[in-house]
Amino acid sequence: MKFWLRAFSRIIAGLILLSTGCAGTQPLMYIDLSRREPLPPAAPQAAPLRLAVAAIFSPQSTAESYHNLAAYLGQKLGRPVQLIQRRTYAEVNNLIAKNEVDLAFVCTSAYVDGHDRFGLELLVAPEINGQTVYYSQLIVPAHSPAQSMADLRGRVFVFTDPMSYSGRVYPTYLLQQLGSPILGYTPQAFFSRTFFTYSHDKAIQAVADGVADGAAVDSLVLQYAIEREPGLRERVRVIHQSPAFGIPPVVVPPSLPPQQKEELRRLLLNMHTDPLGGRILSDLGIDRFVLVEDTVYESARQVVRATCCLDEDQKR
Amino acid sequence: MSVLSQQLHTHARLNIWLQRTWALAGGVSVRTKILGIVLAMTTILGIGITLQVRLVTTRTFIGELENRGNSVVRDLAGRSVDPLLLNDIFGLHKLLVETVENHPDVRYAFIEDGTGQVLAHTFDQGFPVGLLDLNRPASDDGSQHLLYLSNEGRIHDFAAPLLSGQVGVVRVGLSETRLQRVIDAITGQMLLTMLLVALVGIVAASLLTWLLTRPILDLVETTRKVGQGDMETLAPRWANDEIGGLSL
Repeated sequence: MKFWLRAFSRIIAGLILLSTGCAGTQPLMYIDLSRREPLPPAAPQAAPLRLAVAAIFSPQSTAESYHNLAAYLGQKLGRPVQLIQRRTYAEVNNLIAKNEVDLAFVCTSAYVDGHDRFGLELLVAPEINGQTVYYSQLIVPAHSPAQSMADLRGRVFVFTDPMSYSGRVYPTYLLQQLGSPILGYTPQAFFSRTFFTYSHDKAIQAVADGVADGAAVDSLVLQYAIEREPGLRERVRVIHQSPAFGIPPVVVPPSLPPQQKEELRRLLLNMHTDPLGGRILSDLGIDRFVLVEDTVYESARQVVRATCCLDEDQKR
Repeated sequence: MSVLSQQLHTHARLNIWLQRTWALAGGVSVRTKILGIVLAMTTILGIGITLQVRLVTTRTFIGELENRGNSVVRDLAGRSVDPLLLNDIFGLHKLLVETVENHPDVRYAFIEDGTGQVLAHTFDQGFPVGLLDLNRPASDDGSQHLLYLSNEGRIHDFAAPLLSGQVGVVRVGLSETRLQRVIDAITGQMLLTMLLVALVGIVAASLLTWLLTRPILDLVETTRKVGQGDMETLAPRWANDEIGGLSL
């Protein structure tokens, strides 16, 4: 009997141990969540160089791509660089117009608009594959029977940004050419539905996924996207390519002090000669930065004026 | 006092306690013994099962809470990058508020930029600054879990990097309070069930005791009468079993 009593007491002791002894033995840190205080102010920093990049790529892709370039400029200039992004090209242009940006990578039509509206200045332009031009390419899903813009009548079409030259101005211009010489088609009348993705990579994805029946995108972005994701070649097809237009440039606000402007220009023009700078440019798919004249953008300016796309946006 | 002598002392005290208990148990009637055994077994079994179920439930629930915390913080990290890069601070705030509203165990959420400055959070009237340096993502692409004690109970804090930590960190805190309430409710239900089973056990044990002890008590009474010289007395035969055989 004594044996059974002893065994019983051991079982009870074991159960108590099992229920209480399994909790962590390390003491936990204590935080009183009811003790609220104002957040500490940000530590003062040297005035940063404000670098804006228009949403040609999605914000995440832009941050990944331009992070090293921003760090390089900061290292060379000896001050922090703040990478600024906005949802639309127009928002970036407004920041430049208000002198809230010191240096910006903008789209061709954003430059044309900014130059004509508030004197936006060209600094340099990237040279890619030995050229300073790019194209608007009309893409459709690989299985689509469409062979030209005319075949996309009544379909769903995706624009990149309201101010994008290759993603909205040029396809709108193409539609005008399809109609009568006096009254061309408008996107609203020609397509069953249109929408904006606010970046070229998202527009390519929308066509590849069959969300849209067609899109016009920046040829450089399409090439870059296919290099990063070769499977896209099987999912989208180019059915039309525009004539060559001036490549999206690097610009500065008209009020930027000439000395600072010259310093930035010299730094960018020599970047490819520096081993680190060359690697960063290579990662971005850029050979080097070169000087360009405003006349390079004259053909694009004519198309912008013909479509009045940007005028309509200004009125809105 | 050495450990060995301490163990011997404990063992001797336990033995004394057990002997006293057995002396007490041995002195009561058979009916009380049987009822006591049934009650003790039901109680011990009930408490044992309740403790075990509570333990397993707690472990499972806390494991699920940790999995959920990891999912919530990673999802939030993915969805916060674009508003953060586009300086859409109100969009970030809305995202955090919606996350807290849609997940009942999420107590708070906040986002720090690359310099550690809090950009958006879900606390009213200030911020518990003790949280600021409490938890950091362990790697560039994984979330980090940390358990701490607060005035609101145990909190599981999760930290996830935004774009490999280049642009910031998202933090989410999940409270155990709701799950503890559920676990307590389950434990309460099990203890109530145990009580009901014990009551049924007592009724069943009373019937069993009556069936077993009545013929024995009759035999005791008959034996007492025979002892007093009444040789004609016969014990009634209640059943054709071993006890019934004794009445012949």
